[in-house]
Amino acid sequence: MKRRKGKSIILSLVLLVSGFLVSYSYQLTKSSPEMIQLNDSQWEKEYFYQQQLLDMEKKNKQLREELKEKRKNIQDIENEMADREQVVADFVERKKKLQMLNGEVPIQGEGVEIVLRDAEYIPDEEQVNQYIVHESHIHSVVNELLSAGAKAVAINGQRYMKDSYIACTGPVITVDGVQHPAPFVITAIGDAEVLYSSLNLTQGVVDQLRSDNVDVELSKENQLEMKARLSAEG
Amino acid sequence: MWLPLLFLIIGVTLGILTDIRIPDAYSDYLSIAVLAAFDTLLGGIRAQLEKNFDDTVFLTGFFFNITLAAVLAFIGVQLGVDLYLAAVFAFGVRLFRNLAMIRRMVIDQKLLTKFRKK
Repeated sequence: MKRRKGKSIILSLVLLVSGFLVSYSYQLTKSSPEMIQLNDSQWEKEYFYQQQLLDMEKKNKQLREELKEKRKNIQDIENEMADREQVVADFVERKKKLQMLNGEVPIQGEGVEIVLRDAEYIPDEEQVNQYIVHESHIHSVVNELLSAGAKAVAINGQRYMKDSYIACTGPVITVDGVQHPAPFVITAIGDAEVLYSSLNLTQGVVDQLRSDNVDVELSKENQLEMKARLSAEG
Repeated sequence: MWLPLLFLIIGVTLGILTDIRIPDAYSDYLSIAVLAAFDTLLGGIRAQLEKNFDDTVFLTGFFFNITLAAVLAFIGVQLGVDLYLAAVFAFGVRLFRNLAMIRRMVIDQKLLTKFRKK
């Protein structure tokens, strides 16, 4: 009995090991990749597909190269466009400035305001002519303002241009064909300090006007507005 | 009699469930081990039929055969000669001889019983 039991234990051990080995090797063989046998036609096919793949990759590479080039082109064009936009913006800025100078757009800024009035008191025995504002007075004021660096000058709200003219037409003056009666309000935009003091110089314009019996009122303004010229033709 | 069967099932299950992959270089050892196991089993059956079965011989034969085959294969790998083929060959020959003997003995016994019945 004892012998029989020992025998069966030994047999079980051996069976355990051999069963393990067999099933393990079976499982290993099953899971390991199988060798694929290729016959001639399959070889040919594979070669063909391989060739196709190579061709495609080559083409891909070429296309990628092309894409890269095109992208670069686009970049260049975009840069150019940006430059152009910059140029256009510059031009617009310049045009705005010129329009301001030319009076085509309303402008505002600090400056001075001079009011010229005919003298209130006119002695009977004197010539009236000597007590009213003449176009020469306005000329001198405007010239002084311009030489002192005024950026824009207006007479009674009308912009005075580089090519404007002031003419004396009897009791009124004509600026570019528009008649203005007294009092004359001359406004100038620019550095208020400079303009004010250049007008106020001793023996300067204001003094001369006063000696010509003109009533002069001079004031600095923080905020002056000038309307655009009504017509560009002027 | 149930114990060996149970162990066989356990062994097979273990082998199937084992998920360790051994490198390809060692698959030769595995095949030799399988062959040695078969050889020893068949040898045991033959010995049983010849009524000269000895469990010590059986057990030592089993492990000794496996070890020797593994050593042979190892040496073969080291020397660059396919020595494991020798083990495979030897085991194969012994396998067939054992099988033939078992067959003959079974047939003989059946024939003898048949003759005796007649």
